[in-house]
Amino acid sequence: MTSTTHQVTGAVSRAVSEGLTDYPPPERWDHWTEYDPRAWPERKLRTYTLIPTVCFNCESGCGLLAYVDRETLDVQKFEGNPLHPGSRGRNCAKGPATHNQVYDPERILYPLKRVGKRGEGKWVRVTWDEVLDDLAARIRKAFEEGRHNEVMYHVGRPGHEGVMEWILFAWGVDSHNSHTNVCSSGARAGLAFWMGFDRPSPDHANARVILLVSSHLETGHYFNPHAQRIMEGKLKGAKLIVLDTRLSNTASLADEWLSPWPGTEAAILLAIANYLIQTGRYHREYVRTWVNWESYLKHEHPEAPHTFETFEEKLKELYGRYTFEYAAQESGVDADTIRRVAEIVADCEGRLATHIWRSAAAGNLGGWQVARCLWFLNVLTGSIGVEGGTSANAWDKWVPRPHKLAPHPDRWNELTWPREYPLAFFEMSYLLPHFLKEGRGRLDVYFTRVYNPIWTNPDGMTWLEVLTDEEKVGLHVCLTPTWSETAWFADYVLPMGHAPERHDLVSYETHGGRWIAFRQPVRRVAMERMGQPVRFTYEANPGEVWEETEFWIELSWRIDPDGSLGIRQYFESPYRPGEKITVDEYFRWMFENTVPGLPEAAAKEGLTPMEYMRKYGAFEIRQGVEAPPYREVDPALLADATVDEETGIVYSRVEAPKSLHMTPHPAFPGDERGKPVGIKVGDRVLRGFDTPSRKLEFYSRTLVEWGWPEYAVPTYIKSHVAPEKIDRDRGEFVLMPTFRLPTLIHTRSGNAKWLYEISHKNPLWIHPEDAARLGVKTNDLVRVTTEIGYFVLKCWVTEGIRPGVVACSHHMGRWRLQETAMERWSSAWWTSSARERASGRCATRAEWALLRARIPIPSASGGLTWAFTRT
Amino acid sequence: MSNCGRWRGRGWRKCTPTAWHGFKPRRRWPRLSARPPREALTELAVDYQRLFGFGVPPYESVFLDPSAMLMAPATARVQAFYRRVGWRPPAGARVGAADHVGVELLLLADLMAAGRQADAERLVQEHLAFWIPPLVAAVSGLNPAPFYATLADRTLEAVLSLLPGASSPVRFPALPPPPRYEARGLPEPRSGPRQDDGLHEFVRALLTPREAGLYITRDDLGRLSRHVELPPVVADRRAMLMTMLRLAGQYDELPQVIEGLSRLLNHAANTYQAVAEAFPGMAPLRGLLAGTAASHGSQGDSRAGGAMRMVWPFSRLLVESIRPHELARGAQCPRCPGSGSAPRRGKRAGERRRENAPGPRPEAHREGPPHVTSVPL
Repeated sequence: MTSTTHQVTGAVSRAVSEGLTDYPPPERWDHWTEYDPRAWPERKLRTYTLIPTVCFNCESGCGLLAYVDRETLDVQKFEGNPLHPGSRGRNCAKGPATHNQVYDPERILYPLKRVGKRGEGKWVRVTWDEVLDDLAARIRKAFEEGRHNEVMYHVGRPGHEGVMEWILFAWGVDSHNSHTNVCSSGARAGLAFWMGFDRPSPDHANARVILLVSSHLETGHYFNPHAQRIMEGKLKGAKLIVLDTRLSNTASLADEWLSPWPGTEAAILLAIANYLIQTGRYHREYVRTWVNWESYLKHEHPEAPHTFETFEEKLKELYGRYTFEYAAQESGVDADTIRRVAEIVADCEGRLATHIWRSAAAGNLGGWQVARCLWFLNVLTGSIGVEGGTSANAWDKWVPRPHKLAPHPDRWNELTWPREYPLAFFEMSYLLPHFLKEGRGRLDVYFTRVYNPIWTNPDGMTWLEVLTDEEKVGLHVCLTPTWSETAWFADYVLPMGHAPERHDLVSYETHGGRWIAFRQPVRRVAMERMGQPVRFTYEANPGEVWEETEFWIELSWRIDPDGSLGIRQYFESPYRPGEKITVDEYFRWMFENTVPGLPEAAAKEGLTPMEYMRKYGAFEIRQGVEAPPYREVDPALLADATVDEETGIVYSRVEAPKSLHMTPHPAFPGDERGKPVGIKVGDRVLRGFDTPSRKLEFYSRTLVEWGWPEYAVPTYIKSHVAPEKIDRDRGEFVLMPTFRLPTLIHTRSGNAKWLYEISHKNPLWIHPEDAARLGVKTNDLVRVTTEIGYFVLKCWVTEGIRPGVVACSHHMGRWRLQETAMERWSSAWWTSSARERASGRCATRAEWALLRARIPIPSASGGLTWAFTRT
Repeated sequence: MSNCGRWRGRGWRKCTPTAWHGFKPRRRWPRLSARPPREALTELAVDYQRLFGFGVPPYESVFLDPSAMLMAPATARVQAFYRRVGWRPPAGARVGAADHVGVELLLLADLMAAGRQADAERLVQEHLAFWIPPLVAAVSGLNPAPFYATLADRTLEAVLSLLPGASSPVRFPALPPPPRYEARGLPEPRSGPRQDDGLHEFVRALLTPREAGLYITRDDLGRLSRHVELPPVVADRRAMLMTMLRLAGQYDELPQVIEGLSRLLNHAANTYQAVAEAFPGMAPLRGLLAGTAASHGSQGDSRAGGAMRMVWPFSRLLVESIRPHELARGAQCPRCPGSGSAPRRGKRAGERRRENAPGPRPEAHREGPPHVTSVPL
């Protein structure tokens, strides 16, 4: 034994004698001792209190364990939380990189107020009290004058559940706005027309076949929880099929990688569907029971015999043209590969796990039908809501109802839901500046929350123009942890916490199961553990970085201090009547009342539910797959029920008890028979799907009635970048910007040093054939011209991309208006004249849509014309 | 100072009216005038955000640790000092990390007020003396409002006047070395040495105040970039400098950029000299710049010599490792015919040049302040 080992404390000796463990055992989390790695080679012990929180660098909400030094309250590192059911102790690079975000020397530490002109870049530090009083007075005035629609909240990265519904309903505004329609709304729409829910929840770990129409496994959304379960599934023999034009990390691990021409994915999926249909290798009973084929026959073939067999015949006719050869011709993937994949899908035995997000469904004309065609395969194979299959997100997610939730406001905001877009899936957010310019309304107080439209949206200059116009946007309040192009045009830049600096409730459909997790401000929790009371989270965070939940409570209270607006009541404590609720009480009430099983689990350990969540940071509500549509309807609801003889839909006049959760569900108004509660299946009354027919809607009357009969069934829409629309001989390519690398976090990548170091290059992916045609090699500069401008960048010659397509991630390459201001590791200086901005001619990048791009082909006589020129 | 802030007629490291040169410690400080008007306060607040929010993060770790991050090992060193003297930052000190300049100065004030002169001196000797000078220099380079310029000067004076003197000079902080894999018999990480390791190392050293002796702001780099008429690169300091050097390589501006960097280092060396003359306890810091030179085996013979010798070996390395023209395909270099088609992984441009042309003449080392333009390209 060397002399140094004598210095080891009892705790460490015990750890050594107990053998090595993956994670510190939870019973010792509060007092964990280990060597300081930074003191090496000196063996120096440090004592930590380990506090669970939730990562905020993508949406999957993985568990983190913060090692908070008991003496200095500094966070030494973040590791995984082994008790988190979604991530199970594992993290991707983005998790531990949280440390960089917290200790970024250039982060925003204080509330800042603009002085001078908007966008001029002159800021002064203000107090939270000044901010709250100013905002509250302004919002109150708007409410008093009935200008509710002039207050808007626009979110880019949400990452928390239920809070904004609570706040905005209480304020009585219809003012939620999102980024979704430049992101996932295509995929969402395709799924929602089928089943009422707009996101898939695949059970990868138990699947026989995993079919991914995106590179989502690595692109952020669900990367870590999905990746580990896909690997589990593969270890158990599952086949992995990936449709991705680009060779993603996921595709590199696939049994079958299909690199289709962008936008032709639906043709491939329908060829697979056609194969199942023509060969009769689909789940007949499932389709007969759960697909609304009766409605299809009734409206589309009223003359034909009203039998399932007729429907089967019609299916064969409808999809007969989608042969493997046709799909091959459209997509460029050879017919044998598609046939092989179809065979694999046909053998899935009802365990087909599929996923689609953004990717093929985003940025493509008709992309929403890709999602619809993918889900068609789940329907045909009967792999919905079963082990190894795919569920709807809401079945595997839990958003607890808060103590007091206002009814949905009876207001309509034309700025977010303009009536000429009746089928808009999510708010028409990218048109907001245009609506403002058209005089459809104005904004008095506009909150952006980690939303960066100036950079993200195709016409960033229009946003810039409107955000600088104080007539159109009275006050722009930017809630953000980092600087962004949009923050630069705010009146208030309010620093909101990173993952370990805020309270949020998180629940995502990461697998067949259901869980909630608790994001915590770890320094605050550490201080409270050590008996130092903290009034507001910004007193414990670095600088005066705050958290949204507490900010909204304080702001709401100041908007309606006397209760005369009817807002205050929602912010009164359920424990101390008449007094202002604390952030602690807000979550505590939900943990005690609306999370099934949590109070019992806590009691078993002698803890209150709140203590349980503070200690473990997560709670598993359910393990395994469960699908409500197949469950019987609560007999109490059938006391006063009517069955519609034609459709089998069961209506009930009995008021259903309020659900404990508020996970979004489609709502149906019902009629004099009451509300639809289920559907008759044989002798039983089952709940069915949340669709008008209570079945899976192969045939959507909604689409027919709103004027889109040709899209009422799953179909293939030729995209705007279909092969025949691209003239490759003229140097035209499809530019694919809709991907990201697993280490990038949109416009926040640049503030996590490590992530930026891992992925700091953003080359143009180009196939060797195209490179040879253009005469370029890796690292050569190329100029890419699109409809709205051009950019110059280095290229990367790789077989990981389809010929005719070039790719460049939208997560990197930023700009700023002032040379030294607005910190950022990854931004570039950008100038534009006021005239350019006013004319809208100077466009920023269109990053979400696939674009037709042109790269000059060298002429026989001369060299390339796009060599980098000096400015 | 002969060459301060004047370079081809353009001042890009302006000489602000700070006490940097001709430094004389004051016996008495002027009193602050009456409370300034509100507009003036607002202007000061704007300047505060510009200087410290966007310009120079005022944390010891940013000056001492190569990562330039908060909560680096350098922060732990500061916290250890706090513990040793039995002090905790007040709860109301809401900063990004415990080694914020305000917090350290608060401790200094507390120690002085408590009559703990020895501890105060140690705080200066072991911490403040290392990074207040480059912090003040960086702030002054950002053209601050007179209020901050004066405040910076007074701070510098106040801090350095606590140095015990030549008999007890400042001690260079010992930070934990980076982990060495072979110490445990483990192999080094797999990734082989990068082709341009020298450039990375050079940039890292230049941007680490502990090694370079000064904090080079983005403002400095931007001005230098504009001065040599290279495309503006605005990113983090590392990317700015790296890209500027690479672009300079492509456009044959490397000597000008090296000269510009030399000027910066020169300026720092001069100011350290001035400070060391005023405060003999700071003499070892003059050696900070000279020390790098010493490690390259030369003697400091001018005030700027140390800094220059830091740049000198690297400038040669730069020439060898940047491989000008390889990145700029199609941009033919008039001096290197055929270089545009040089293979990426082929013989290094520098190697070719070494075969054809003599390297930097050793005597150039003693021509301080040397002109790097003499490096044959």
